[in-house]
Amino acid sequence: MTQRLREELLFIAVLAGAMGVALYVAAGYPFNARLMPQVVSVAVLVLLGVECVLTVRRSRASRDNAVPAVDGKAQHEPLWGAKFRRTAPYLGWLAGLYLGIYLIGLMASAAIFTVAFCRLVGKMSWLSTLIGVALLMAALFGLSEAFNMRWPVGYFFDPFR
Amino acid sequence: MLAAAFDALALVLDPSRLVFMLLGISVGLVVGILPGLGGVVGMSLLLPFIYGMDPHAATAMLIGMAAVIATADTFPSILIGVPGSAGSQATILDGYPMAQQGKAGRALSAAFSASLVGGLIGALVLFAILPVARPLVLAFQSPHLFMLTVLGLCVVGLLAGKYPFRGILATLIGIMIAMLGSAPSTVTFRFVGDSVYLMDGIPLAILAMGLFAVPEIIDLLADNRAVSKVKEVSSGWKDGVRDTFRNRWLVLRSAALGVAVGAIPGLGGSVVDWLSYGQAVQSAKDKSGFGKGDVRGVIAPESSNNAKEGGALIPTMLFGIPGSGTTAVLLGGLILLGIQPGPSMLTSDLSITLTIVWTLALANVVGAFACFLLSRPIARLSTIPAAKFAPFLLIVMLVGAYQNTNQWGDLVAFIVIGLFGWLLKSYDWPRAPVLIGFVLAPSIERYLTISASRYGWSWLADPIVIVIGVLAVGVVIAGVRAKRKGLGET
Repeated sequence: MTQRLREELLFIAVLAGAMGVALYVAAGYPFNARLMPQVVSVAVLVLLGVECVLTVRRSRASRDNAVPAVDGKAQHEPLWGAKFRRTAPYLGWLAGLYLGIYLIGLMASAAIFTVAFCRLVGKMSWLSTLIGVALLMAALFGLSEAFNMRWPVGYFFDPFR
Repeated sequence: MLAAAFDALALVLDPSRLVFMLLGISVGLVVGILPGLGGVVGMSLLLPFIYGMDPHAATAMLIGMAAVIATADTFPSILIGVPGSAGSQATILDGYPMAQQGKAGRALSAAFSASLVGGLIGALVLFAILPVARPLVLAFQSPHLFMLTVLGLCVVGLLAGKYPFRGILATLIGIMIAMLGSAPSTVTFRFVGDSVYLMDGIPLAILAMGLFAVPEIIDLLADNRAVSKVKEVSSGWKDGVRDTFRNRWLVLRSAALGVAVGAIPGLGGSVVDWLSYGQAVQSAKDKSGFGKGDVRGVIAPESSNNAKEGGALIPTMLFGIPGSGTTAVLLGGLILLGIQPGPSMLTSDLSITLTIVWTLALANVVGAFACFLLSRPIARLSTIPAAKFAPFLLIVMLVGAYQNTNQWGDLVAFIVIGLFGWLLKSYDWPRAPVLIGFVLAPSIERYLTISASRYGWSWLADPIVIVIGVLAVGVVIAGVRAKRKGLGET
């Protein structure tokens, strides 16, 4: 069994688990509220069973007719391997942005995040970075004023509150 | 009627009202270009400003905004593979591969010219059909609408992605996500646990942005590339227009389909592009290019999604039944202006009705030309490396997500759905059917509940229901067989 197949079967199992829980929980609702979720979750469970078989068969077929790699990447690359290693730093940036929003609010963390990302990842010049960030902040303030939009404020402090 | 139509044209072209139509068009262009936003968001943004306005100017602004979204939402669909709104999902299937091949200019110009023709046909049909539409729309009852929605979901599930069962499963998963929150016709909150945020369900804009934009951005960054793999994107503008005229019958068929589907309440926006794409594939002699960058896969959905605006206005204005999410908000706007949708739209408020028809036609023309003018600078965006625009796009999306309920739950839901979308994309599960299942879930549940309570189970023996049911089963069998044949599965 290939790594990719294991991952796909795990994904299907997680979906099936979620549908099983939904089916169980829905049983406690009144008829009108449970009819649709029960019908749909049963249909999903049946189709997931079919899809499970098809996935295994597809995996066997593709192993027998191995597709050559394109641009150094396999056609059906596993997620938890090289792909995750390539992606993890950006998920880290995203987590950092969320932490920033939680601590100091959206406006301040947006400014810090965009400057840091443009400089460190985008390799942009200071001038381009500052122009981009200034335009973004101006647009956010403009929207805020025009449409009375609100931003998430920070847990500790928010300089733009 | 003709004299009234020309009087209405004079009203629309009055400079004091024309300004508001142009303002609406400008907002519609921006909303269409921004991924994840759509007609509902645009309408919601404009609604607070129409209090006390002249009804003709206000309706011109609202319709002007709604009419051009289906044109402008082509930009994100083709350039970054993210639907600008629910009605431009099918455009991605061939538009995005064209952009990756450096044919963004051709794809965009084909889309805009097809949108223009489709939009004009929609307005023309709306004008022609107004006096005779009433018996047509009333002919559909809840069981028929339920079965039509099921048929739409089957078509969508089969057409999206490589594997038919995954498409249908994705549609059902979308329906299950929509089950979060309060249940219709009871006071039950489903699957919310102790979360107050989930009681109102997941907002559509968050689901759309999370499912589509987050996975695209993550993958573009991880692969360290721009949207377009080819640097030159500005050529092929004339070819795109020629493509539209070369495929004129496809444009007309798709527009007619768009008007018809748009007029069926609840089906409209999110399904019409898929149905249109499906008929384009079915009617093509050479199907091999679809999904790999065939311009017909851009022309068909773009023509129909503009034409459907005219169709969606038929039930909205005549019966007060919104044909789409956008027209649902428009309906609220009309009531705010003191206009009661219904038969009076053909008598005392006829001038308003005709203003809407003219605005629809004019906004399509102005919107298409504006998009042509903006195309080159916006198309160049697709060659910019993701690392240079991703942080800005991410912040804009986070801001957009937070505007739904102004709770932290918006941001959490956005990222959770984004990661779920990334898993779906990574494992070759189609994401568009999830969104469509989500959008149509309330309608399908409502139609099912009404059918069951009003007719018991006898509605299953209704001849129209049986015909649509057989059609749905036939579509599934044919679709599964066609896909297995195409994939070489045993």
